[in-house]
Amino acid sequence: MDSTTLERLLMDRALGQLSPDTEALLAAWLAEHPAARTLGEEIELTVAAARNTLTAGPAIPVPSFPAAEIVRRAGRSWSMWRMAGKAASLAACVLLGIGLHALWNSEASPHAPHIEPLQLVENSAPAPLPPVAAPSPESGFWSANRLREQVRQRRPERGTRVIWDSPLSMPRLGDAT
Amino acid sequence: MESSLDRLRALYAEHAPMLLRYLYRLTGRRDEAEDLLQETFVQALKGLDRLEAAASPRAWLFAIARHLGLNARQRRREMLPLDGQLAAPADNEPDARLERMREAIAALPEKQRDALQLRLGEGLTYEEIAVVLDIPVGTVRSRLHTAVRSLRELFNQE
Repeated sequence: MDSTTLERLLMDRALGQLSPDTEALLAAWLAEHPAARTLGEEIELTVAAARNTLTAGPAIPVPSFPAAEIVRRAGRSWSMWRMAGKAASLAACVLLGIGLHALWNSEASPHAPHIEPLQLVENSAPAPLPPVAAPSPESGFWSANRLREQVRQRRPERGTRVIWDSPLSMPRLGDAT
Repeated sequence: MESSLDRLRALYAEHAPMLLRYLYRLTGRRDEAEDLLQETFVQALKGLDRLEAAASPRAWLFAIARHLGLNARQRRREMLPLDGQLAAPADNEPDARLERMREAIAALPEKQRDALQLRLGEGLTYEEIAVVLDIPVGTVRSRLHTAVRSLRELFNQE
């Protein structure tokens, strides 16, 4: 057992907060370790002296249960709370009134900064759109029109086909139909 | 109301002596301690159901008493001499060892002294002290261990 754990256990035992099982185990262990037992006795003595000091002093006679006084004070306290609650409600109402009044004044006040209303003008004729440049197939390398044009140019004519009647004659282009 | 008072009377019979002693140590004045004891039970009457449902009604009562005691002390705005909190033994023969221990306890930080008072003076468990001081149980244990370690060093200095 390390010294920190041992000291912690000894202190808990001296303070009376060690469970009976742990206390029995500790007692068995201390029986075989005289140095630790000495430390434990020292802690026990310290705690006992502190307990004596803290409980010393003249005994103070406890007054009998003051039922009437407690009820009276509790009642007074309750009525104070009730009054405080009413006062809080009243204060909230007053604050609300002041707030509403301030809001009303700010709307109707001649000193409030005047803001010109926006004037909306109806315009039936649509505004001319800015001229848009016609898409050019050569407008850019990645232009879709340019690519489409290239594909169209590479595609063979739909109306023609290769006609090769005899291996002895040259192939020729003819009508597809 | 009558049944509430009966329940409160039972709590008073069980805990008032310890609470009064604790309040006396907190305030240093007997009349004030008695007044605060009453106030503690006035507060207890208001939250009697919660108090009785608590794991430890004693811890609740001590928490209320401590709160009231500290408030009263703050209102007076005066620091109590530590001798007032740690009263001398009743008999007139001063015990040198106890006197030395009294000085050692007085030299502890207040938080440690509080925990020590509640454990050794009033017999509260670690869990109850945690409720009274509103701190985790681990902190209670740590404060007590530090306090005992300091006392052992101071007490055994010679």
